[in-house]
Amino acid sequence: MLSLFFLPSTRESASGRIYRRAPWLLALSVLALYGVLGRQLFLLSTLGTVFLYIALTQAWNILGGYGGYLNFGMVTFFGVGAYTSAVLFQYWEISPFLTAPFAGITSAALALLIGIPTLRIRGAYFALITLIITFAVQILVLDMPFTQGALGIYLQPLSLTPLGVERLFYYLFLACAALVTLLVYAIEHSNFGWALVAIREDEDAAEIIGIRTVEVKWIANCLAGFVAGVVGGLYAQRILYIEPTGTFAFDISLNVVLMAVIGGAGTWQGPLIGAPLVLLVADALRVTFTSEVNRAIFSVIVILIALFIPGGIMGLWTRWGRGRAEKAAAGGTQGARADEQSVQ
Amino acid sequence: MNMSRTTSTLRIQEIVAGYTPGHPVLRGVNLVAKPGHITVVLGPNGAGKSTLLRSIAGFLRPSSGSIVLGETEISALPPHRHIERGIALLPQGRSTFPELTVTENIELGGWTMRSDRKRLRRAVEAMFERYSHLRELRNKPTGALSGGQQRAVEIARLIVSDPTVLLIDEPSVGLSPIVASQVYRELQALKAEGRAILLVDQDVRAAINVADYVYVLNSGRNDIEGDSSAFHGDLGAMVRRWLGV
Repeated sequence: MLSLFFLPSTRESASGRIYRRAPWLLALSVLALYGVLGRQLFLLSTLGTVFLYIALTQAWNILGGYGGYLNFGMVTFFGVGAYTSAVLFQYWEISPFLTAPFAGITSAALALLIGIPTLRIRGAYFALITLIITFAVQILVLDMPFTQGALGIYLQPLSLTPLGVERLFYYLFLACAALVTLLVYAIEHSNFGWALVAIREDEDAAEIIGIRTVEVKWIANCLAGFVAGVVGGLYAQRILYIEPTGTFAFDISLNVVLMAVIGGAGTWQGPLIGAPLVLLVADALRVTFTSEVNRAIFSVIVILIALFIPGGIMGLWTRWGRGRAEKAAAGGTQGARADEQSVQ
Repeated sequence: MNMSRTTSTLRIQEIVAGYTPGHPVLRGVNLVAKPGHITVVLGPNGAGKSTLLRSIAGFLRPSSGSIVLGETEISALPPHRHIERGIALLPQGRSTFPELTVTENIELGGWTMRSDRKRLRRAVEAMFERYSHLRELRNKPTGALSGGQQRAVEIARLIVSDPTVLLIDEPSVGLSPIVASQVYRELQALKAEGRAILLVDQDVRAAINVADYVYVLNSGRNDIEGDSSAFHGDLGAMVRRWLGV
């Protein structure tokens, strides 16, 4: 069972990997540098939110993108993580920076608890159940005394300047996004990733060849829960006040799915493209069209992408690359035939 | 390919299984599939042929009866444990991983060898030697292949881990007659390697032509059985009996 998680697959050559990684490493370096040099609060804050969503979308991508299980309840894990940190601060005054890993573990435990019965269900039913669980958990948090219901929980502000706070969370979420991307990259190039893809493509066939499909899905869900919980825990400290309606907002789950699908679900690059694109386009539309028309325009853009770019932007890129490779191969074959004829 | 593989006989004894409690599809089926033989299961629609294979493969746990491989009871094993015992299933219809390439599909067939990459590579290479026409398609997604090519990938994926018992469900569905005859020839080659093949088929004539022993199921029970030679006679009469005309 352990070999399932640590053996790298051979889908890509080492030189190919370096070639493909280079632009992303460059982008990471530029962003890391901007954290030091940038002084615009708005931009630092927006980019911080982009990184937060990249981490969440990558987490969703593990089971949703690679495994093909549409989870419309990602915000459940995120919200439980945020509340875990907030409650620990409220009653024991422990900083969310210290409790964020515990928030991750709590969300992972919840993911396992939810996953045990639900991940035996396939297709639309699973998506529907994850959606229902979000509303159930939200109502539970509203009703429980220790979460202070609709009043919510306040956290203590950090004794830093506004720029210092923005920089801190900029780097924290950048680190989260980078680490989770690294995790997803490792999964994509491991037997665990193969197992998830096989489940997505044909679950019965995956089981026939010997994959423990149910266990693989449980682990994927727990990983996603852990990441979302950690990010949620840190988010609580960033926003300083959490309450059930905003923390468990369905918009967060929807955004995560849209970002993955538009960027390219089932690829480690997809969330890196989808998260900034969706957030920046939505923000640009909000600024340009002050009425609710911006939501309608955004919806039309999403529908157009779904219709004309199946597989998202990474899907488009892959098809373009495959087309080029096939043309090159066809050219090579024709050249070889011409050579043969000329020899004859 | 390992020609000296140790093979075991698969024995099905009085199994009762179904999808809804209290409404069994199989009502006490008995069957033996021997190594180096093609054992064919025939029967009208709804007789329980595919249910039988799904029960043996672990997708459906029998409510009673036993499924024994060699000396080991396997009826309670989950589907992913069967390949470890050397039992592989080729399900009805397309079952390739369509977005993955031919190589990736075959590699995934060797999942049980994943901790030994060299062995897996050798096994995959052996498949490309056996089915040489797949070599030039190795980097193509299987979803882009023809029905016959996909069937070849499925068979390569089925045998890459060198299973000893093959459960084959309707292998010729959706294939042209020429490709279907190639599939049946391949089944005979796999039998010659000493594997036990349990074949469920609607194509009565083709199945009997490759069979060593034939079982006929009707309403979830053994109806008639015998050497394939006994079935070469009036197939039309048998089919008419199934149809009740």
